[in-house]
Amino acid sequence: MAVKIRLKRMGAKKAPFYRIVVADSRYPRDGRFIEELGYYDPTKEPSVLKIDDEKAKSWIGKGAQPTDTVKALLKKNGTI
Amino acid sequence: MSKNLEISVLLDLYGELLTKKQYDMLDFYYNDDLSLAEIAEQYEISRQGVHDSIKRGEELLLNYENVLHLCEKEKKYQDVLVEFKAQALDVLNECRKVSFGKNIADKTIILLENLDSKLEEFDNSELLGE
Repeated sequence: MAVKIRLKRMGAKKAPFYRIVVADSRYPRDGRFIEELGYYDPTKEPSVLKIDDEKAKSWIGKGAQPTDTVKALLKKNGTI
Repeated sequence: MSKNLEISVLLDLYGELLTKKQYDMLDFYYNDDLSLAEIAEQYEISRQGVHDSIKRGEELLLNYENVLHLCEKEKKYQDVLVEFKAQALDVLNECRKVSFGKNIADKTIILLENLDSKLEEFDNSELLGE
């Protein structure tokens, strides 16, 4: 089972908001995810990023693949 | 960051002007954060095909924004609402300092409620949860 760490857009029109979630790559769209690691809110000035470092590292250790976008956020957060 | 999340907002505003397929691909790419390869797999087309389609969609969205400026106007509108709200709060505070200010204060509260209901559209804080 390939596990990915990706962003999931939430929030109404005009108010985007992203959850950072661990999800099975086979079901990208059914809304199910294994665990939520944090969120990213680009609407604030400056943007708000909250990631559970421990959980994120542990998932990556278990082989979960972050998407490029999430990878950039993890770097920004100092997680990796 | 490789993906430009601004596109996601443009997709909200102008998405209906795209074809269904174009919309879906951009939606997968930006809102579900799928990779080109994952999208290609779903549509059973090449990764390059998905890439071209997304690039074309993005160009269309950026073009609409260049002509219509809806995104820019929304942002300005939000800024104006925030500014008006601050001014109304000032008025409310002033009213409360004087004994005859109750009627003005009541009307200012109605004004503040109206401003808040408009600002709600831009608010995502209920999603922060926890």
